[in-house]
Amino acid sequence: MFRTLKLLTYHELLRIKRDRVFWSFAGVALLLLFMTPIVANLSMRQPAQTGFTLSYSLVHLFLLVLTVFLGTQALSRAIERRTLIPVLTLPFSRSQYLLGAYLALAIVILVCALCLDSISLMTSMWLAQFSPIDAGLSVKAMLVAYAMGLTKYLLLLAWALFFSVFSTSFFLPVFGTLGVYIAGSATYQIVEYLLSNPAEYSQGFILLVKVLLYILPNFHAFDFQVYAAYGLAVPWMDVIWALGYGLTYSTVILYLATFCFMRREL
Amino acid sequence: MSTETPIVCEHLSKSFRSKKFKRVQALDDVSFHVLQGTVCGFLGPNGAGKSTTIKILTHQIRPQKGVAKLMGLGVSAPESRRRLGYLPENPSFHDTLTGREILNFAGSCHGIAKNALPLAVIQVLARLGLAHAADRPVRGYSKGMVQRLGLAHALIHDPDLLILDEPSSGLDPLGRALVRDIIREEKLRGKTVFFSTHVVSDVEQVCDHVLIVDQGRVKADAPLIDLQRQADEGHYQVLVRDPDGKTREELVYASALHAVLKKAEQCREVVESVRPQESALERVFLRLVETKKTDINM
Ligand SMILES: Nc1ncnc2c1ncn2[C@@H]1O[C@H](COP(=O)(O)OP(=O)(O)OP(=O)(O)O)[C@@H](O)[C@H]1O
Ligand SMILES: [Mg+2]
Repeated sequence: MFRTLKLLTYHELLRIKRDRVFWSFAGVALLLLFMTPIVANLSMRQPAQTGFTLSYSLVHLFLLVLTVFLGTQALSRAIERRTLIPVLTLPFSRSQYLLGAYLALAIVILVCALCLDSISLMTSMWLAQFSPIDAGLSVKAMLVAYAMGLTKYLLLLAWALFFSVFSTSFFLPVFGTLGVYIAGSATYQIVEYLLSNPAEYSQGFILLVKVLLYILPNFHAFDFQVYAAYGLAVPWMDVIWALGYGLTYSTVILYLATFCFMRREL
Repeated sequence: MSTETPIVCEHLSKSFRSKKFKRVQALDDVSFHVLQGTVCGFLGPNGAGKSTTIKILTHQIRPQKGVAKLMGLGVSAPESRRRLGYLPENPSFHDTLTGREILNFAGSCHGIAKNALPLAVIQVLARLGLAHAADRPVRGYSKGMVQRLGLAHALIHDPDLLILDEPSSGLDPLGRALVRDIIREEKLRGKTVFFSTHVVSDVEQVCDHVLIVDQGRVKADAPLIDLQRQADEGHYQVLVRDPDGKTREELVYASALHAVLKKAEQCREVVESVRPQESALERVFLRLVETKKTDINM
């Protein structure tokens, strides 16, 4: 079981390593990331904070593109080009294949996040040296923010694979995943606005809205950027909660994806 | 080697949605067995349901009705493919990987030990004449080379059962001969081979059992010799040279052949060659498939 998973993961990694589109994305991200200090220095008041916020957003944009690209390519393109047939007729189950693919993509996203986040961390710290006002930037909180950002994309990756299972074209997976991302990022504001006057609504309604928010999913739960930028104390309970939420949610989506993949005709 | 029947299909039915509310019946109550150690040819015209049957056996699609088993295990169990070598119709591989990488992966998934793997890969590549292209990405392979890689992919783990969907499609005459040789070798080593094809002569040369399908139904399921005996009278092409040195061609029925040869001898003509016009199996095949065509027209 583990041997098969390891093999599948390795196979998938090898494929991504040869992917030119992947390397060009990574190149562009690196280039932009190294340019953030220059832009941040233009902001006279808090270069380090600006640098962190800017590079953090940049890394996230890259992770989003990467998740959508890799997650939707992994299955739908392989199904379309029929390269999946020789692989899936080897003696393992489709659920193993899907899990192996998820692991491989998660590893790629993890490695990219590690590289880019450490560059973001180093440039922010370097900028902080020149600006006493930025003393508030907290490394601990920054690490938490990076880790939770990663969790968010691993959850989105599960969604990307889920959409990819149904389709042979890129259309549904790409726009489905982006749709989930947008919904997951925007709903919190809507819900906050809706519930700004809780007295107007019944308890049941409020509960329903909250449940829906977490089903959509709620990406706000993974947003710890503010704590890092302003050196606020990290709310550890929220971190643990978000981790548990991300893990459970990804598992459920992957399970659903497997369920559908087992029934799919090649 | 297990004593289980390698392939069992019972009452398989499968229909595909073609247009809205319309369905194509690809398989209609197909049942057959392939016994241990036999080479079974799977013949049928285009669209007969050969690939559909093979896809069901390799668990790519599910039948609406019926049971399919490999090595005594239901096809939904991944273990049923442990001793199986499968060649898909027009195989396609991740084109950035090299032939060696693809075979390494397949070999390890089949449980070949790490230290035995490099040798196994080289041997199977050499067997299919791909050794020179082992480290080139598949993107640069020609159609026939990809087909050969597909065969290598099916053979890498020395399987007990081979299921090949049109193994010689896209191959040059050398490649076709190679495929026939491989099938014969595997049979001699006690393996079971089940392959689909349109080429009747391939079946006559290597098979001991023939399965003919048409329009999703089994039309014949018998040893090759029995089918050949069922053939009705065929034509022979006779080439004779008369005493003046001129050659003449005659087309005769099998029943008249004897008389024609005798007459030639009497006239002091030389019989240069006697060739059957079409093979016995081909005649049976055409008869079985043609009767069907009139059915539809009615
Ligand atoms: N995915 C599919 N969707 C719709 N119809 C299909 C599908 N696959 C096969 N069919 C139909 O099922 C029938 C049998 O197809 P199949 O591919 O099994 O034929 P075949 O015997 O392999 O033919 P060939 O010799 O051309 O390879 C055909 O009528 C085909 O149109
Ligand atoms: Mg076919």
